[in-house]
Amino acid sequence: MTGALVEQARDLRVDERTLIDRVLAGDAGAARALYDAHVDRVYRLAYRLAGDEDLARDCTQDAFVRAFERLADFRGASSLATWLHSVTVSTTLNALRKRKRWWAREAPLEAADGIGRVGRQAEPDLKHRLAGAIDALPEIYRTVFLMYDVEGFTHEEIGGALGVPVGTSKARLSTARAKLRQALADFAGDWAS
Amino acid sequence: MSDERFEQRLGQAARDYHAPGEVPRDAMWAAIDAARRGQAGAAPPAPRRRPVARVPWLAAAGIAAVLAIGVAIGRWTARLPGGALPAQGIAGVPTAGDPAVGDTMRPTELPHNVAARAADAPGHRPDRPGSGVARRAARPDAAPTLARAPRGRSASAAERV
Repeated sequence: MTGALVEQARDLRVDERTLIDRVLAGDAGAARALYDAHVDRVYRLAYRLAGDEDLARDCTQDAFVRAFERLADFRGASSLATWLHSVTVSTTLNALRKRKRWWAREAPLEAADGIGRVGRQAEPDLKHRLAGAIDALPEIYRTVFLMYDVEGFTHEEIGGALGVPVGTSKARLSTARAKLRQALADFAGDWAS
Repeated sequence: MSDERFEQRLGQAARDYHAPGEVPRDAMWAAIDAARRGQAGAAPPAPRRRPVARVPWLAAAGIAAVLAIGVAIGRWTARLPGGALPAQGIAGVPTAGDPAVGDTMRPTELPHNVAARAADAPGHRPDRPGSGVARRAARPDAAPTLARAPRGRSASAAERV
């Protein structure tokens, strides 16, 4: 029964509202169907933002647990997917902020501990430079860049998930690209060839 | 390099950034399901009483009622003679104005009392209008001066009495 429901949910043959109502009525199969229909994109989004498998798993789990908790409050103003992505982004960014604070406290000790053992690359290649440049982007630009350019979300979906107008999403993407272009100016010649 | 080409190359290069592997569906579902069962098995939270402060109209009504009572008391006391509570004698207790009491309960010899009695005395030459004691004695609401003894002509008038 669960397998059949998954197929139905994936093919969007089952009305979203019906699935939600069944989950709210305590149908475990419907809950699993809802999860299976959305987990791939939610996990990918969490992973892109977090960059760490354990953290991405934790954030995905938290996002779904929260979503099931608040499912009764979902009024259908946006699609269920957009709503789930909104919960995912918020959960993941909060987890990243917590980790950042922890790193800010702990990193100086670990850095001092590792002196002389880890060699630094003199000149990182493009991949490393790009990763570093994306990491260095402010959160609002980085999130939009990863959602649009990497994960293929539309500006409408990004706006819905982040709670910003479409124009804001576009402006943030433009700023993110400009910053990355500036950071990767050294590689402009390689890319032109 | 054109913007379009840069964006194309950037998008391609960025695909490797934090590239996710296989989605651990079942492992994550097991954790989610366990969390949901845990929540369902937990005792439902006790219904909370809404604190008074969270019912704005109730707090406002309370404040208004207190203000109205305060204003009513103020107006009621202001309408009384002298603007104070009535000086009612307690039943069975003689007051200073009672003729039966006589001199035993005469008020303390305060300067304005002394001056007033001196003015009533035969052959008394009244004080110049506007002079200190006369002015004070004529004023019904003059506060009694207990700390200082009467001075000057008023003092001598008091001695004559």
